Parts: sequence; structure tokens; C-alpha cells
Amino acid sequence: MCPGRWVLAGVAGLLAGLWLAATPAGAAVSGRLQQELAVRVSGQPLPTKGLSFLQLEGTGALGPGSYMVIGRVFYDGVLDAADPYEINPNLAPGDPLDPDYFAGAELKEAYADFLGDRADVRVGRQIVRWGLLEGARITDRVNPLDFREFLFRDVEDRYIPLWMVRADVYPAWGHLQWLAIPDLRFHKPAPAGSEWQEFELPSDLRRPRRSPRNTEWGAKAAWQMGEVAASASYFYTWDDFPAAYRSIFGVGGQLTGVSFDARYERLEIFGVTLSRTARGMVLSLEGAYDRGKRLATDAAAGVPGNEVERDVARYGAGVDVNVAGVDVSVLYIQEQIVRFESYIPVNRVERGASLMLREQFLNDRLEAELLGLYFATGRQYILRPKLAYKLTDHVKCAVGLDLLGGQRGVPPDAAGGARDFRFVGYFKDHDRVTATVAYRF
Amino acid sequence: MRRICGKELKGNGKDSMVFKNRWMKTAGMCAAAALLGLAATAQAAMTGTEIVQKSRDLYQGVDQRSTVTLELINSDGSTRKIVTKRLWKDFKGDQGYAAKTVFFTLFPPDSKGVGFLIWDTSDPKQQDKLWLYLPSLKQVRKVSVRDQDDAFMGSDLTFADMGQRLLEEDAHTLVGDETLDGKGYFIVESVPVSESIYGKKRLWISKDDHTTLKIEYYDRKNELLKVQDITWIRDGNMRVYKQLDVKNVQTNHRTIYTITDLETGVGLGDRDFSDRGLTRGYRE
Repeated sequence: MCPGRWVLAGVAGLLAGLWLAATPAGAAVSGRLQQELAVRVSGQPLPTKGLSFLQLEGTGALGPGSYMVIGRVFYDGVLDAADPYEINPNLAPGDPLDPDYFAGAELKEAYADFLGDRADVRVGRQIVRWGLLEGARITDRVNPLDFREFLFRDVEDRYIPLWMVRADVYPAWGHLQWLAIPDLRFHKPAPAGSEWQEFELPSDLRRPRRSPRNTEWGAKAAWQMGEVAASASYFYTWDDFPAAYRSIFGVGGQLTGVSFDARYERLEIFGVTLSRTARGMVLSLEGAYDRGKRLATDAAAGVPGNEVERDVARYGAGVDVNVAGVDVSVLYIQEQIVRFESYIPVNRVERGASLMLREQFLNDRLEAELLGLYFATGRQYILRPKLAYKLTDHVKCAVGLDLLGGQRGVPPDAAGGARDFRFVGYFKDHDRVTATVAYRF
Repeated sequence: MRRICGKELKGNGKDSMVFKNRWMKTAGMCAAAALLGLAATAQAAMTGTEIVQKSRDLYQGVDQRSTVTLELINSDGSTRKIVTKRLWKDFKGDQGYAAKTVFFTLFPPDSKGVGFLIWDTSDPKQQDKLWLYLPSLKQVRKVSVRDQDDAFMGSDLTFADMGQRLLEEDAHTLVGDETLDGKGYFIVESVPVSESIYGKKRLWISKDDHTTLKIEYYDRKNELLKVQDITWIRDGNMRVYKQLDVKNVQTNHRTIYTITDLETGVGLGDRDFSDRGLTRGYRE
């Protein structure tokens, strides 16, 4: 790792802080200094994370509107304490580490709000969340995900902010939202050197150019039907997973070569959500229909390009309830490929469920939380018990466990999916203890 | 807009009972003397329900914007402070809602931007509605009604206490009266007839202006649970809480709610009490 890189990051952060601190009256600066540690406990204890970051958030007036800027400088010092080839056993000797994973400065969000009587506009780099079922990613797919720490980071780190224009209109009957996203970014796999490295993007992956024609568009309408809150959405996007088309060349019946053309494809997502309160519970339903999803096929099937276009239906139901003072959220989701063929090397139907329990104690200073995720295929699971304690109004510390299990499977190759790929079970030997201390100001 | 609590008062006079000249004041005093006798007779005949209704009918302005500071004091003396901005509007039963309230947390920093939106229904068949905005999730979430029995921000009042139960959700009985600091108070017992975490409540309501001086909350075993003392801002005919001091006698936990920077007639609208208002957060 180049030490100059994080020195540069520190300087950039300092300058950003000074700039924010020097903003005119009416502006406000807040932020967070955070230290995160993780030790793998499957086998010999091994430190796998030593992340420190400073995040600054600046807000203020901007003409008739306002602005928000969130930036961060970070440094992960785990390589000072552990060997990267131990942290990530998939890393081959000589493979270069991704220095951006260990240190850097990043602009997280930066947007301006213009608020009117019946309409609001937000322009800039931002995160937009649709949907009701937390973590289910059924209609909540506006921003792609960053898998640098698998599924374990908070929303602000897991969702990749995008430059976009968001307009919200409030007619008497409800709420209309419109999105225009010229900033084309896609899911970001954990990079080389990360213990969560699972799959890689093909090196010759073609990305669509930023242009009006390639812009992503979204629209959502929300309204109330008696006691039921409803929404319908449409998102003309790019699939965040690339398709890898394969061409086989032959002369006189002899195979002479294979070429791959990996590229992102357009995708349409139609969504609907319904929720209502009944008998002390919040019931939520959410569904989405993906039109134009590209799926890899078995090579033996002889499908031209090795990819087929299919539609995928995703749907789920959730219940939020308070039982004896404990907040309980239960979620069931299912995903189904329409017009499934046996040569598509994934399951026709995938099922999953989650359970979240949360309770506060000691004058609300102590919070206990348990998150459980279960995926039927390969009986994969994640269990995340966590305890967080507020030492002062500004300082909070937390300890937790991340337990992963199920069938391990094999990761997909660059050419597409693998029938035995297990997204969670692949990390079954990555159980870890985590600790966090955060100072907010 | 009117600013109260040590701030300027710029009201248009509509909501303050100010006698404009001395003649009217003299005539008014004569009339008042005659009416007081009638009023005393009328009050003597008031039922518990009527007294509680009077205490509910206190004029609080058409809307309010204020800073509410919660000081949470543990049994060991350790304290925690929460500062919120509170917006409130009297909906007078419009669309089935008595009032709507929104709180935006300003302090501590890890809760900054968290918003609570409460719609108090005026329809006994409907349940109050509650939403929560968590900036960390960037989403507004509906919260189940049962959660209204949860402590409001860890304080000694529940979400339901922060709103108001419908009059008919309790049976109100006048059980006596008492003179405290030279002022007369009705003592009314309110026993739930619909679901409640309390066995009963006992209220001390002023005979003069129907403000509530004290509330005792009893648990379902009818043992004293909490005592709430209230001081009031009195401005013309307007009555607004100035401070609530709530002690849980079973846990020795205490919460002091202090209202400052109170403004009324600020022109709050429907959008301030919607998911749009919640996600916007508080803006001056």
C-alpha cells in the first residue's frame, strides 16, 4: 500500500473540513470519528479489519434552497497486523491488492434541495430508497450496492450514491416521484485484499457511456386507500449484474476459440407496495417484476451467446410488531424466474426469510439487537447479535458477532453464474467478532 | 406569529382576551361578579367527564412550534438530555384527526434528524397513527399502534401519553376536590374502558381555568406508578405546557420536559405533518 495515498486522503479531508468550517453563517458542520475492529474467530483468531474514518457533514442555505455535503477519509490499518493472504485465502501470491480498499477519501453525498409549495427538487449525489421490506431489495433498487464488507455495512456505506435529479410532486391525492440518473454505476464487488472477495468483474467488461439515451429513469406514485398505503413504481435501469455473452469460433467442425463479451444490459422493474396497520402490527407487501433479465446458461445447451433473456418476479411480506417491549420484524421473500428452463444453472425459485429483534435497556443507553437471515438454497444463514452502549451523548460503542453458515458452494466464474454458487455459505469460515467506537459531534 | 417564553408577543389580539378600555373593564367586572355565582353553581354540578372535557378544550393556539428539552434522570442520579423541535397543529377533527404533532431530534448527535410523526385521531373507531423517520435508513417507517405504549424517547411518558386518549376511552368520575396554594382543584379519576397500560389516572384540574396541575398514573394493579406535575404558560385565553415533571415512583426514574422558544400561529400546514415533512427534517 502506498502511504502517500492515505496522507493525500488526510490532507483532502482536512481541507474539506476547513472549507466546511469556513462556510457562512447558517451553515452547520457535524460529523463522526469512528474506529471499527473485526477479528475472525473461525479457526485461529485473525484480525481482519482495523478501519478508522472521519466523516464530515455540512449543511446550509443555498439561495432559496439548502445543501448537504458528506465526505469521508478512511484508513484500514489491518495490514499492519495481519497478512493479506491469510485474511483472504483466495488471494493468490503476487495478486495486487486494491489500495483504494485500505485508504482514501470519498465524497459520499452532495446535493442541493429546492423546496416549493407542492414540489421539491433534489439535485446531486444521493441515495434514494424505495420499498418497505428492509434489506429485501425488491423495489429498493435505485442505488447499486457496495459489497466491500459483504452485507454488513450500514445503508450509507452499502448503497452507492448516484448523481441524479429527483423531483417530488405532492398532488392532493398523494405523492409522485420522478428520477433521472445519468450517473451509471453498478454493484461493486469486494476488491482484492478484502476478506469478502467473492466474485470479480471481467477485465474487459463494457460499460455503457453516460448519455441522455443511457440515462436511468424512474417514477413512483404513492397514495392512501383507506387504511392501506399503496405505491406503484417503474424503473428503467441497467441491470447491476453484467451479462457475459460467449461466442465459440470453429472451422470445419474444429473449435478454434472462445470469446467473451461482458456488458451491462437494460432492465425494466415494475413495482408495487402495500402496507397497513392492524391489531398493533404493521403489515407490508412488496412485489416487483423484472423484465429483460439476462441469465447465464449451461454451455452444453448451445444457447447463442450463452445467455437467455427472462423475466423475474420478486415478492415478499413483512410484519412489524412489538411483543413485550421487544421490536420484532419478520420478513419472507421469494424470487421466481418466469419461463424457466433446466439449462439455466440457478434455481427456478429462491426463498429467504429474516428476523430482527431489538430492545433497549438501562435508560435506553443499552440496545440489544439480533438479526437472522436464512436462505433456503443451501440452508445458508447469517446471525448477527449485537450490543450497543451509549457511553455519553457523543460516544457510542458496540460489540457483535457475525456468524455465517450453510453450504459453501463455489463462486461463479467470469463467464456467468454457477449452479452451486452460494452467496452466503461461501463465507462459512468467516465468523467474526466486531467492535466499534464512534464519537459524533 | 406570536413568540412566548420571554420572547416578543406580536399577536393580532384575536386569541387573547384583552379588554380594550377601562369602561368595559368595570362593566365586565360587575358582570363577572354576577356570573361567578352562576359559574360556581354550574361547576358544582359538573361531572367528571365534563371537567376533563373542559381541560381538553383549553385553547392552545391554532398551531405551535417549540423546543422541547427532555432531561432524563436515572435512579442513580445520572442524567441524559434530548433536545427536540416540536411542531403541533390543532386539526379540529378535520379528516378525522384531532391534532398532529411532529418531533425532530436535534440532540444528541447520534439521534439528530430522527423524526416522529403522530396523528391523533378524533374518531373512536380509528387508531392513532405513528411514523418514524430514521436518517440512517433514509426511510419513513410506519410504527405499530401497540408501540404507543413504549416510552417516548426513553422518557417517563409513552407515545400515547404524548398524544391524548379520546374522552370516551376512559370513564371519568369526580372523586373530590382540594385546595393547593390557595387555589381550588377538582380531583377526577379516569378509569380506562378501552385497552390501556394503566389501571387508572387521577387528575387535579383547576377550578379557575381547567388547567391540569397534577396527574397520578396507576398501574394495572392500581398501584401508584407515576406522578406528573405540570406548569403552564398563560397568555390571554391560551394555555400551553411550560414544564412537565414526571416521576416514576416504582423505578425512581424521572423526566423533566421543558418547553422553550414557543411560537404560535406560525402557519403550519398539512405538509409539515406528512412523510414529506419528516424526510425534509426541521428547517428554520
